[in-house]
Amino acid sequence: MSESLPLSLTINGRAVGPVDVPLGMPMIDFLHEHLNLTGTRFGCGQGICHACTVVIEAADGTTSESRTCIFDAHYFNGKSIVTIEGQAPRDADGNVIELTPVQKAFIDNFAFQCGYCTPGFVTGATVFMDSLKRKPVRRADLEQAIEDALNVHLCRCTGYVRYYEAIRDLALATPGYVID
Amino acid sequence: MRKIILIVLAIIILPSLAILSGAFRTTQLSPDIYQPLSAERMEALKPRGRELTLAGDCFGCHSLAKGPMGAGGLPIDTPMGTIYSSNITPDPTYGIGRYSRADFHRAVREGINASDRNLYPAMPYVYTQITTPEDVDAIYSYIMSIPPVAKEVPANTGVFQFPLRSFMNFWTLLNVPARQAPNEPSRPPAWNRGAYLVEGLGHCGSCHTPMNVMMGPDFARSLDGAIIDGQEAPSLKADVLAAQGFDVASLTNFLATGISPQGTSFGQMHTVTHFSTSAMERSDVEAIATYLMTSADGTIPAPANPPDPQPESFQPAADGSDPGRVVFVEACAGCHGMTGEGIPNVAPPMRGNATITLANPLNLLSVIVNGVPDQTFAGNQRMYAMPPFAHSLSDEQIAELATWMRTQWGGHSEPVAVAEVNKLPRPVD
Ligand code: FES
Ligand code: FES
Repeated sequence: MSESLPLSLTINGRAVGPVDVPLGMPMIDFLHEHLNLTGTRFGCGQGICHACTVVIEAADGTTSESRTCIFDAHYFNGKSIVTIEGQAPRDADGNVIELTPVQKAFIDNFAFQCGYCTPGFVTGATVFMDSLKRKPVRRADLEQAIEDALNVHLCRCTGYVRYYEAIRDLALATPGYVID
Repeated sequence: MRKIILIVLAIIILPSLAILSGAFRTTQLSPDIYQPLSAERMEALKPRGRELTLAGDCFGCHSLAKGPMGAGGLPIDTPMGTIYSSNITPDPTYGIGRYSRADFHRAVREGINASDRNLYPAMPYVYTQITTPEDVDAIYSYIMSIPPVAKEVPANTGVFQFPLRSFMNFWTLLNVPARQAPNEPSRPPAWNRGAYLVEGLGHCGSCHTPMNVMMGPDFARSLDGAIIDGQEAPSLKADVLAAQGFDVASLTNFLATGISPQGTSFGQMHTVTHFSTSAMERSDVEAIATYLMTSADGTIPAPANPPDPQPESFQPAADGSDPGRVVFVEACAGCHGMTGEGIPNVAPPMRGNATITLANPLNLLSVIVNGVPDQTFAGNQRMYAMPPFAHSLSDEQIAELATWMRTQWGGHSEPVAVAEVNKLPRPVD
């Protein structure tokens, strides 16, 4: 299919486009091939492993997670997204100043091994933490809430325990995110 | 004046009291059922009882999704309140452990519980009443053998918490005709067996037959299709099924697996294929398919091919694109394929999919708006969850998408109105 449509969106705070992008090009290919943002991982390509997710920032400030392998680049037209490259704040030269709390928690807990699933887990956990900021959970419900939020993310190496514990510790250490 | 009072009393109140007290509830039950079954007889009847219990999908309603088998507690929401399904395990306190053979017969065939009170018609005794006494004995024998679960069921809410059960005598009088299993000696045994299961234990009409104003089945339009819980339980008429490409073999396959070229079962029907028809004996499933696929004149219509694309999809907009097709490529094609071919065990194909060929776009729109959860099917098959698109596509986009899909794969060229999308219930998050 050779038909192209103009695409404009915001990626990591930067306006991209309008550029002509073929209809039918998955978002992950656009990130990898057109923008050289190769941190987003291509796992199953069938929408199941969630290695390929990015954050979508809505106009009202809320965030959600979206897979990029099953959705077309044009599905993101007009949206604002954050890829793994846009998570940690950077200085004017583009160097990472410090990692985000979620990234630090994963490193501190030795949460991952090969790391292929990690960009997706960072995305999922970041969206989850953001949801706790707006709607805290009870302590008794925290583990279940983490599992509900990250259940879709597959990891072939670790068995998930350290990922989930990292998020639990971070949520408990962040004032106002867990009540009771 | 006294005379008027007496007349009113005679015309209205006395008959009402008589109905209320159940005087018009005649019984078809034979006195034999008051003789308990011997232990050997019950043991021998168990396998047959298990098959019939599966055919009735008894545990579909009398269990929570991941709860213990038969322990009840499933909320059944109605506009008048919530009824919780009862515990039908043989626990003597919370279940039906103290039910005699006769008590069980009365529940299944007359909708009356062991305390002599009416069951609410959420229990489909309108259908199960036609079950033969021997089969009720078999179900009784099997259910009395399953593990007892000492678990109390929550109290009903809304109007159902009040002592209304006597009033069900009125409802039953008006809505429960004395039904018999269809018995046509001229038809093959499979047809008769299927008729017995579909019209009886299988209670297909509970969803697929429209309701009258009293929420009873409108038997004049039996299995004509109905709207239930915001989705269409489609018509099960032979010509409608054949138009969707079903024949006896493929309908049997669908019921036995939940998967077919016409799509995968979802919503309430997934419970049916998952817990009931996929676990039943093949011969019974084939009997059901035979009965449903047979027209009134006794013939089985030939299955239609999937419809050809309709003209609309060949008339792109001025810039060369069809807005509905663009939405499909952007949001759907990643899983359902550029040409709607689907991915096995991930997402069903679109071509020939009954959700798209149905005349009413309701199910297509409902699935796009609400998504479908992860589902498992017989034989370790599965389908991955479809996300709800209520928040990521506008109602206009959804209407355009549905219009294009229906012209492409549904055989319908008339547009789907945005108003149809507007009025759909949204997912709660
Ligand atoms: S690569 Fe996108 S979900 Fe697996
Ligand atoms: S760390 Fe290797 S896949 Fe998760």
